[in-house]
Amino acid sequence: MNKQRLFYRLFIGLFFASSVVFAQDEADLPGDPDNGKKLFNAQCGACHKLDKKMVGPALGGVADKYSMDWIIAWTQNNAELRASGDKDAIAIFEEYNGAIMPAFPNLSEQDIKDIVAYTIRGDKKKAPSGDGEEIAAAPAAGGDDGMNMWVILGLSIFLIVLIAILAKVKNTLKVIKGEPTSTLLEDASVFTKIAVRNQKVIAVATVVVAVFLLQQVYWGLMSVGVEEGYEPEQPIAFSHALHAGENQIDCQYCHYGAEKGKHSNIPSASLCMNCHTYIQEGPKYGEKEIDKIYAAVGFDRESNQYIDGYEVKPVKWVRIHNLPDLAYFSHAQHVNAGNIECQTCHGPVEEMEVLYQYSPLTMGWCINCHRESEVDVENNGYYEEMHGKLKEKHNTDKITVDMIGGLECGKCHY
Amino acid sequence: MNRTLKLFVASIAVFSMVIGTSCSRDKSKPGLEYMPDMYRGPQLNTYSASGLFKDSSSARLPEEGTVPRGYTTYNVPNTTDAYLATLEKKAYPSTAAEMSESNLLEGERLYTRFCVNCHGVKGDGNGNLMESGKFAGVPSYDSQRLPDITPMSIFHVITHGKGVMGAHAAQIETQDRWRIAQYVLALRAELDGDDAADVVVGDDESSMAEDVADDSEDASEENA
Repeated sequence: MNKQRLFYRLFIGLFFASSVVFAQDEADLPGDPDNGKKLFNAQCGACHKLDKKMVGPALGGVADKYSMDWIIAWTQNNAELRASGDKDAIAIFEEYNGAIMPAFPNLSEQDIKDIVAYTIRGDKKKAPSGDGEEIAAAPAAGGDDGMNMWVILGLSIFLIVLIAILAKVKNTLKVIKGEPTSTLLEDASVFTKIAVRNQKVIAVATVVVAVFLLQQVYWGLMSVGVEEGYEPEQPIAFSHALHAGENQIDCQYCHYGAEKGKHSNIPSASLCMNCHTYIQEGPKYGEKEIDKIYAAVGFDRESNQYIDGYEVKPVKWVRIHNLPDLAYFSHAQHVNAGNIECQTCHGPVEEMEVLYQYSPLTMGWCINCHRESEVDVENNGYYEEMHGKLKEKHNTDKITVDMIGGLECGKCHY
Repeated sequence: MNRTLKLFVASIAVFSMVIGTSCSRDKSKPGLEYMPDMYRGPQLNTYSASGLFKDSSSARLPEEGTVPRGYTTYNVPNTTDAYLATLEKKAYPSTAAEMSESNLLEGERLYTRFCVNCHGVKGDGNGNLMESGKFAGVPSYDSQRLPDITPMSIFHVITHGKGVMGAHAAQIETQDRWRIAQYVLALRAELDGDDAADVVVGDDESSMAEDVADDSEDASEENA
């Protein structure tokens, strides 16, 4: 047995000595760690991580704790090993409260050795360039508003300097001609005196200022009660761009109530845990934001378990879309019967790092959509006769929502 | 400083103040409201906060043991033994959604919404989250990797979760879970290269869900 193993190691050693890059480190490994990584990700990764306890124990350093034969026997059929009365096997089974690891008869001895090799070597260190890019990319995402402010400030400083230089040049010219110099303020007051006495200038100025002020007042009044662009800071820096965009998670995976009822539900923190029991670090904020979910549901990061008797704390999300009580709106109606995409009203949510209100949610906006949206009458045999009559009445092939009562007051206000 | 100069300076100041305030809007605030009393009544709306409860949430859980009208409950516990027991039930119980073309299509729609990110379009465990390396170890549904799964065990796992998969009972209604289970078995048959119709359909009198439904009826009677 020992001889065999020695021979085996020698063989492996020779094999890896021929590969230049990892020759030094990998000579002692029992198998091919790269193949092991593939197998680990496909077969083991659901329950095991290298450095952290998940459903099962952390597998880094497993080779130091158990012999290779034991690991092979356990992996291929741990129930059999436990039945044979192996103390280690029973101990680990009980430590994890009898959670059953499935048998893996399809993994050959060599496969398991490869996996163990991977647990010894671990992941290769990531190339540093990757991290650098991310850091460099982050500030570029900063607000456009800030940029504009600086441009305006820079321009105004430039103009002030220009005026000062021109005044200086004028005075210098006057000195050369032997005339008395005047300061900028004196010039301005002379200019104002002339302007104030000229009635045409006054008339034009009055009109310009009045139009400007009236427009401001009009805009101000029109924006009363319209919360378009509302972008409050949320208690957790949740990114729809990451979840709905990059990870392509369906809107209704979390907001599953949208097709069921009046409200599209805000997912509970326990729904976050569907993924975040496993994904414990975010790409941007690391552990900080995910820890807030754990604080809400009572999950302990270290032991990877829920805390017994923890009093759950609801996450106080800030509601963005506020319809007044006087208007009735049902998500289910629009999602099911209307067959409207979420993005039609909520905008490109999958690109929003921070969610904002995309639509004005005004009555005019609702009405416009009801006038334009076509009703799908194709596969609706039940109302065929009625749809036929409507087409006749309006002399058109296209039935829009307003024709079936979408503009009736009582549809939304009652 | 003479009068006209004062006028000049003052008008510039006013003008710049108007410009300065009109262009910016604090996005973190919802903005002005005209007569908020008409917008929001005194009643509690969905998700509105309430001082009546310690956690300030007006959304309360129903009394334990409450069964909503028309719902089938499934209170087989989330234990290893219960999971192993589901592996013994080879047929669909009578409470499962009927096997039909439309239910299979609905199952596909729901599978695409709730499962596909990890389990993949084909059910081979290669969802986009696996491919991007965010998740690992999602098994394929084929009968080599998962030799003994049954309709009951699939339903049980969707309900309670298993390993790092979370419980989906809150998101997916009971009958929808059966539809997904049917679609998963169709995917499994496809992966194995069998005909999809090979799955046993029928009444299993001793089914667990049946027993459970009976239990819950008793419970609701007791509560009443």
